[in-house]
Amino acid sequence: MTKSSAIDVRGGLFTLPVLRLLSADLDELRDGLQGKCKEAPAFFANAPVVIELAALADKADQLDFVALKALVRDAGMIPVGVRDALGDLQKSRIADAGLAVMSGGESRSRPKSPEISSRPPARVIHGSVRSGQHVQVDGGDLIVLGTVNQGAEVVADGHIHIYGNLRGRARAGARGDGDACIFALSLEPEVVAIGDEYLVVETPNAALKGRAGRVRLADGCLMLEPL
Amino acid sequence: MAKIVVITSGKGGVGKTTTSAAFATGLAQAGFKTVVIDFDVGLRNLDLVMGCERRVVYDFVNVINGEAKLNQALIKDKRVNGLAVLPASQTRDKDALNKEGVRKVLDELAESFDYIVCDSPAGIEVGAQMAMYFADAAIVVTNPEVSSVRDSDRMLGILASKSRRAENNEDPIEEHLLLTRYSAARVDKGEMLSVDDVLDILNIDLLGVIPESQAVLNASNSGTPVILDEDSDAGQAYHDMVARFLGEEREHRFLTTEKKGLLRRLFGS
Ligand SMILES: Nc1ncnc2c1ncn2[C@@H]1O[C@H](COP(=O)(O)OP(=O)(O)OP(=O)(O)O)[C@@H](O)[C@H]1O
Ligand SMILES: [Mg+2]
Repeated sequence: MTKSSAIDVRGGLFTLPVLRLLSADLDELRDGLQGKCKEAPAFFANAPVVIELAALADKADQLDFVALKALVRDAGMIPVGVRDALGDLQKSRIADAGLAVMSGGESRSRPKSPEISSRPPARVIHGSVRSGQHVQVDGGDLIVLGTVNQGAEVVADGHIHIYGNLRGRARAGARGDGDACIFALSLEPEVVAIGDEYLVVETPNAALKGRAGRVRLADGCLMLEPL
Repeated sequence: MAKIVVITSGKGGVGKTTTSAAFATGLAQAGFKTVVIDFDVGLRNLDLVMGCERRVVYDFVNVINGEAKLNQALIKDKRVNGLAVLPASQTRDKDALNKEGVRKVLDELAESFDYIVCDSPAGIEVGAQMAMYFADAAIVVTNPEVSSVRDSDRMLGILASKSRRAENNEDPIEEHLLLTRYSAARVDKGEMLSVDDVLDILNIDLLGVIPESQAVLNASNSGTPVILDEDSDAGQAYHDMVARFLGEEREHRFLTTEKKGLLRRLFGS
């Protein structure tokens, strides 16, 4: 990749703890926060957090967001934004305090359906992916019940599981998920990629042939290893 | 209901036309009314291999264009009962074929034949896609070398996605592999892929292995489908392949070199 500028802008999905405010009184909030931090100090230390106002509704009009921000910082956390603000007044005061006004997102504290079902289902290919074919899965995992032959390409935002040989190209975590992996019953790929890291395999490693293996990203390096 | 079988490969010169002629003849010998169609518009080879080139008056394209009736274009084989050839045009190009026209001709043939064998041109373009589009079964002809196997893999992908069956979400096309021009001696020397190597990549039913044989060249030159040369290795291999296609179980032959065969005979095992 050529570096045409010093900064590369990319989208990323992060899971952040959400502080759900149940009171607009700063003293009560301070006590509550300190109590939480004692329960799990390591979890909250320097953790970026989002403040949620949903339970306060228009009571949040009286909140001093500058003081609230300081209070959260004192507790050792890094407040990045506030969500569920009502009306332009609340929003402008949040912005004045140097916090982001956030919208959308699903709260974990009110799970309507289990978390797992909100992920797109895995796509299953019943058979081999052949030369010239291209399979792309947006959002989820890909499962191939066959081989991925030379000249074939499979791409998934999640993991890729191949119940056969990988002889073609495979890219897992296509939207940047570096934890995604590629699994196959035999690793003899032409090209493998995870996120934006890719590896051209000119001579497949004989030691990986004919046994189950995995491709993963470790410290920014692609590793092909037997299972 | 007639069964439509396409003989296809992707790569050129691997033995599609040789196979189409032998396979169609074998089906007719087994008592099935069979027509073999030359889809290689512009080249026209099948009539030569079938030995009926002098009897071609009208062709496939004439029938599609309504310039001739199907019966005027069909050539009945003089050696085998129930076998007919629908020759290709030599003067048109592949664009003369269109789906609707091909469908009409196939529908009409289906009224009077049990099997319709389509000899596909090489490549994966319009001509080849037209030959495979309506197929119920495909015989993928492959030589034991890397580029032929790769092209067959490609063709299998197209069969699975661009056929009438795929587009209508029906059962997929039945896939069979026919390895041709197989030379056990060259496999032993490592100059050719073995049956196992090819199966490992393509992973479909193996219908047969046709050895590299002088008999094929002799047969083409005399305009006789090689399956009629009953004494030849290739002729027998084609007989086996037809029998397997019709559901019979037969062991694969011609997979090992002569030398091994001799040793086996000497030691009686
Ligand atoms: N088993 C065999 N042994 C020896 N020669 C063979 C064998 N099979 C085919 N051939 C020869 O290979 C050449 C190509 O065969 P054929 O015309 O059947 O191939 P094709 O796939 O139809 O070619 P095209 O793609 O041009 O239509 C011919 O000269 C034929 O005689
Ligand atoms: Mg041909």
